[in-house]
Amino acid sequence: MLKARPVRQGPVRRWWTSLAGVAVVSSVCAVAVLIAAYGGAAASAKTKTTAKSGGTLTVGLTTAPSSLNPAKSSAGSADDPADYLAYEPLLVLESKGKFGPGLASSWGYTNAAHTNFKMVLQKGVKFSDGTPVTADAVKEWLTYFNSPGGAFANQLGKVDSITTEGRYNVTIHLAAANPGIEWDLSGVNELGDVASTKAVADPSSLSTRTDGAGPYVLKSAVPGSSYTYVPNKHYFDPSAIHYSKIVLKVISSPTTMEEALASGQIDVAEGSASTASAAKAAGFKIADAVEDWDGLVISDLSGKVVPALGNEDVRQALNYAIDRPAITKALLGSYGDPTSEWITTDGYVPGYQNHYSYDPAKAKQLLAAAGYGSGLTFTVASTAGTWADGTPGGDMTEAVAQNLSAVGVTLNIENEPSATAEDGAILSGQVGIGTSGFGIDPTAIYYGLLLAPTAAFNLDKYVDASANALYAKAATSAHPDADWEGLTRQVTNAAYVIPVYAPESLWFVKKDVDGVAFPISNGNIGEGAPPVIANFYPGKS
Amino acid sequence: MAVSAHEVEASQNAPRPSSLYGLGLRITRNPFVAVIVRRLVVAIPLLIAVSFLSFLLVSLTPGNAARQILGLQFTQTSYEQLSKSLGLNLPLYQQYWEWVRHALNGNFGTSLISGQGVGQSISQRLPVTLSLVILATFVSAVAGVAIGIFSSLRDGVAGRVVDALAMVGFAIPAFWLGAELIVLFAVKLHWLPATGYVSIGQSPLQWLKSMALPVTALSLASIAGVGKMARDAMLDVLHSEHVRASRAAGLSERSIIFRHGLKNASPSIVTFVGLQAVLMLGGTVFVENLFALPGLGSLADTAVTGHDLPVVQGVAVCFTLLVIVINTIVDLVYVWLTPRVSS
Repeated sequence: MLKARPVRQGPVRRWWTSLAGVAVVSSVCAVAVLIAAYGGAAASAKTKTTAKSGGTLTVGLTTAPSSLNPAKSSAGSADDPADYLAYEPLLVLESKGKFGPGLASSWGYTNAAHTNFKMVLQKGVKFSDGTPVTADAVKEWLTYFNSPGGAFANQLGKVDSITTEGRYNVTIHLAAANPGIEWDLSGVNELGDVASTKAVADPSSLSTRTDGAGPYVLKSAVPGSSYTYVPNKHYFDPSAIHYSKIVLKVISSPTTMEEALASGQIDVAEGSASTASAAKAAGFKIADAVEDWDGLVISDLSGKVVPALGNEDVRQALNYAIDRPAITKALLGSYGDPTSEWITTDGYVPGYQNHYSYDPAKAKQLLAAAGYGSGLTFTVASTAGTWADGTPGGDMTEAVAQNLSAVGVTLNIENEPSATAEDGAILSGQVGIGTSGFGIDPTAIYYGLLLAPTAAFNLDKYVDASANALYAKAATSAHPDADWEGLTRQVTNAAYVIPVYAPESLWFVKKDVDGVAFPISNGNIGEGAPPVIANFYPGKS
Repeated sequence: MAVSAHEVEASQNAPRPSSLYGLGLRITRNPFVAVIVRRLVVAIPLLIAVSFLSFLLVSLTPGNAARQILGLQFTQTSYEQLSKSLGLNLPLYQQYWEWVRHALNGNFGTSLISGQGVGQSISQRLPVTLSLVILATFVSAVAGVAIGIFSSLRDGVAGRVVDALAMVGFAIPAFWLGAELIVLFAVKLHWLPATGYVSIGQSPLQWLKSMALPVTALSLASIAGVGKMARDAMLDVLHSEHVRASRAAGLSERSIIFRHGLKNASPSIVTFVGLQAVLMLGGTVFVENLFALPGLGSLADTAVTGHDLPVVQGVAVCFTLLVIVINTIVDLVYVWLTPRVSS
C-alpha cells in the first residue's frame, strides 16, 4: 500500500517559485544582452574606427614583450615594437644597412684597430622622467646592461672600459674589434635602448614601467596581454608624435588576429602567411619583407657525432637534394623565397640565393663519391608544428626529410617539445644537426653564432682558416661589405648551413594608417627589424 | 525530522559537557560548518601536493627558464651565470623549499622571464577567469536544467533530440566553436568584440559583451552535459513510486515537476554542475588564448611554455584554491538541498 510522503515540518520552500523565478530572470537578461549587443553593434557599425591625428592607434602583436626591461629581453627584435616606443636607441637602423642618428648625433672608430668607438650625444634630450641624457647616463646603462645576464648581455664582446669626456662624449674601449657594434647600439637587440640613471639605480622598476627617451611612455599594462602608451612630454621631437595613445594588444592566434583586424578592434596587426589572402581580400594593406631564414644548421662540422657531416661532399649533396622552390611554394605561398645562402644585412650575394638548384642526380653522385652511395641515416633535432616566427617549421622538416629520402638519406626526426628543448639537444651535442629559424642579422653575428671557433653552435671548435681570415679583415675594414659577401660565398660553398627558405614577415594595415614599412637592406630583404610603430601616422580614411 | 518524546527527555537529562567541548560539538553538528571545516582540513595537504607536483613536472621537462631566456645566445658561461642569478643552480628540493618558505609569507616571487611580481600578475588576471567561469557555469546550469526538464516531460522525440544534441555538444571543440562565433558575431555582424576584456567596473555592458562569445564557447559542452544529466535525473524521479502516488493523490502536475521532481533531482544536478565548473576552469586555457583574454589560463600556458616556475607555482595554487572553493560551494548547496540526509 502506498503511503503518502510525510509533510515536512517548518516553512515550505517554494522550489518551483525560486527556480521559475531564476528562469524568468535569466531569460530577461538574455534578451537584454541581445538587445544591448545589437544596439551597441548598430551604433558601432555606424561609426567606423578612423585613425586620425591625436587618436588612438591599436596594434596587434603575436607575442608579448619578453620583458619591459630591455636588459632582460630574451626575444631580441621581437621586443622592438614595444621597446622602440619608449626607448630612443643610440643609433637608428635605417635602410640599406645604414645607421642614422638616435641619441647619438655622430659616431665612429677612433683607432685603426677598431677597438675604440666614440659617440657624441644629441644635446638637450631628456628621459621621460625629465632627467637629461648625458654621457654618464649612457655609460651607466651600457655598464648595467650585462648585469642581469640576459640573452643579449655581452653582445659587444669583451669591453675593457667605457669612458666619458664632458657631458656628451662616450667612448667604448673593446678588447677586440666588433664589426657589428653599430648594429648592437641600434637597439635591435636592446643594448642601445638607454634607460635613465634613476631606473638603472632601481632596475626592478624597469620590469613594470619604462624610463627611456623615446616618443612614448608606458601608462598601464596587463603584462602579457595589453600595453598602453601615451606621449612622452619630454620627447625632443614632438612633431614626430602622431597619436595620443598607442595600445599594443597581444593576440597569439593568427586567425583571431585577422578577425580582430576585420572587426575593427585593431588598426595594424602582425600577420602571417596563412591569413594573408583573407586580409588582402578584406581590403587591408600588407607591408612585408623577408626577415628570417629557416633551414638546417650543423653543429658537428668535424663529424664527431655524425661522421658524414664532416664531409663537404655530403653537405653539398644534402643541399642539392632539397627542392626549395617546391617546399617554399607549398608552405609559404608567395610570402617567402627559397634560398641556398644564409640571409644577412650586409653579406647577401644575390647570385647565391639559388646556388644549390634542385638536382637529385648530382646529390646521389656526391654521396657516392663520399662513400655513402648505399645510403646514409642520421638524426635531426626539430620542433613540430608552427614555430614562434609563425612558419610551419615542423612541416618544413618533414618536407626536407622526404626530399632526402629520395636520394638515399634517411632523416630520423627527433621532435622536441619546444624550441628551447631543441636548442638544448643541438647545443648539448646529442645530435649533430638541427632545424632552426634565424632572424636576419649582420654577417658578423652569424659568424659568431655558427662558425667562429668559439661559436655556440660550433661544438667541435671547427676551424675554417679562410672564413676566419675574411672575418678578421672585415672587422677592421672601413668598407667591409665585399669581405662579408666573400664570407657568405665561403659558407655557402662549403655548405656549413643548409638554408631552405626565407619567410616574409607580414604586417596587415588598415587603409587609414600610413608609415608602416620595414627597413630594407636589399630588394625585399629586410634588416631583421620590424616596422617602427612610432613612425606610423594617420593616412587618409 | 520528527523526534519521539523519549528522545527529547533523554537529551534534556543528558550530562552537559564543558562549554568548549559543547561549542565544538554544536559547531561540527552544524552540517554547513562541518562541510567548511572538512574542506579546510583537506585544502592544506592538497595545496602542498599540487604545488609540489606542478613544480616537479615543469622541472622535469627538458629545458629551463635560463635556456628559454638565452635561446640561440646560449653559451655555457652565460647559462651558468644566469642560472645562478635565477636560483636554478640549486637542487630541486631546495628550490621548492625556498618557494614554500616565501609563499608562506605571502610572497610568490617574480617571473623569471619578465621580472613582474607573481602576486600582481595573478590579481590582475583572476577577475577575468572568474568572470568567464562563473558566467559559463551559470549559463550551463540554467540552460542545461531548462533543457533537461523540457525533454524529460516531452519524452520520446524531444528526448532523442536532446540526446543527439548532447553528443554534438560534447563533440564540438570549444576552440573551433569560438573561432566560428568570432567570424559570425564579430567579423560579419559586428555585434560583439572578437577579442579582449573590459572589466565590469569600467563598463558592465562592455564587460558582458566581451564575455558573450567566450562564455558561449566554453559552456556549450557543459550545457549539453547538464541537460542530459538533468533529463536523466528527472526521468528517474518522475517515474518513481512516490511521484506516482502523488499523482494518484491528486497533486498538480506543476507541483509534481518542481516540488517533487526537480527538488529530488537537484542534488545530482548540482554535483554535476560543480564538476563542470571545475572542467571549465581547465578549459579557460584554450578559450583565453583564442579570445586574447588576459586571464589565468593564458598566463598558465605562457608560464609552462617558458619554464617560468614561480608563475607556474602561483597559478597552480590559485587554481587549486578555486577548485576547493567550487567543491565547497557544491557541498554547501548539497547540504541545503538535502537537510535530512546531511543531518
